[in-house]
Amino acid sequence: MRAADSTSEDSDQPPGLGDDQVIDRVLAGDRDQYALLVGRYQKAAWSLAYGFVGNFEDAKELSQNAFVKAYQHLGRFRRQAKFSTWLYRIVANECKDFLRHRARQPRLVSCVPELGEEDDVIFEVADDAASPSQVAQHGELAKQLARAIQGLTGNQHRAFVLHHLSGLSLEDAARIMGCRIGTLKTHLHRACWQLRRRLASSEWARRIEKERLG
Amino acid sequence: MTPDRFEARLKRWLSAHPLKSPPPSQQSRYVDEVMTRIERLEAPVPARSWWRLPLALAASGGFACALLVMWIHASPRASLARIERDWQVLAEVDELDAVPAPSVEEELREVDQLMLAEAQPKASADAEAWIDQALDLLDQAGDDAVLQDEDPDDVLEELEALDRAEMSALPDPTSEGSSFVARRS
Repeated sequence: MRAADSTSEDSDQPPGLGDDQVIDRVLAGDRDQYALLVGRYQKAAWSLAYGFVGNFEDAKELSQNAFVKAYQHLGRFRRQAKFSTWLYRIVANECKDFLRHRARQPRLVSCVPELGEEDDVIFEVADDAASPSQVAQHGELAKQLARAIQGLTGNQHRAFVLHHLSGLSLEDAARIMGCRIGTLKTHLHRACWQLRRRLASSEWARRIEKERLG
Repeated sequence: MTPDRFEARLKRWLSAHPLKSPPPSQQSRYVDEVMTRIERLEAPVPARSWWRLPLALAASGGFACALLVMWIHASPRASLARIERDWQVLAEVDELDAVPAPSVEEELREVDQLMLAEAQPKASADAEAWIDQALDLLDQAGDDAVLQDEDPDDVLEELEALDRAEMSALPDPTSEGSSFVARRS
């Protein structure tokens, strides 16, 4: 599920009632109108958080925190960017704080599964045409890729999740990260270089090469 | 595999295997949970009455005063209780049986009165009477001194005469109890 795609899918707004109009009504005191914005972007925000933390429960909690914070600071939204971009930035900051806090916790007492350590992988590996053996192979490859993504450093990880996993455009990803597009591209390039180095001797790279040759 | 080619393969793999979607069963409650949290945040905080702080200050001040008064009154009572306890301990060891507390007080009072009486100067009439009495005694002493110049035999005779006179003045011993007779014998 891509965050960029979900904005249009979740849109159940009446025709002509854009985000800015809903925000105006909320700021005028009609609190229930905010449910429209929540319903519109809940899947995107949840998926974005899931890309960061790799756990649906934590991702739900973090994305809901982001919605509450967005409501509390809705008066400060200057509308220079889209509401979704502003919301995703809050989600990304929530996830950044969460990951930083989780990294400080001792691994022995941590009961939160980290990215790629869950029983199920974070990527969709099953499709209608795939056989059970192919699903298992894809699942193993997805775990390898997820562990490699988890090993990326802060900005590289954020850039990779925002652009490659959540499907946000370079411009939106750069706005969310608060940097220029060139800087974002540099983070993405370094992230891919790190993944290539980590996955060079893995089954994932051999599989990809086979698929290319095939 | 070159970096550009690796990135292209990676993008292709990710497009074929996107991130999992959130469970649909939980998506239905998502909006309600967020709105509940927002409503809870905006729930009006019960306003504090303006009189609570002065009332609390007055109550605490009164309590402090009560404690102070109790402390002041508790100290003498404690010492009195300690004295009474000491008296009881002394009474238990029979030290007070010989000198009970009331008699000691009376005795002390009498001593005080005596000391006050001695400290007061005698009246002039009493002094004159005392002087007269002293002179009489001196005169009698002078008579005795005169008697010393007499003959001792005469003196003995006079004393024997005095004894006889005194013995005759006594009642008859035979008419008294046997114990008196025995004592005389």
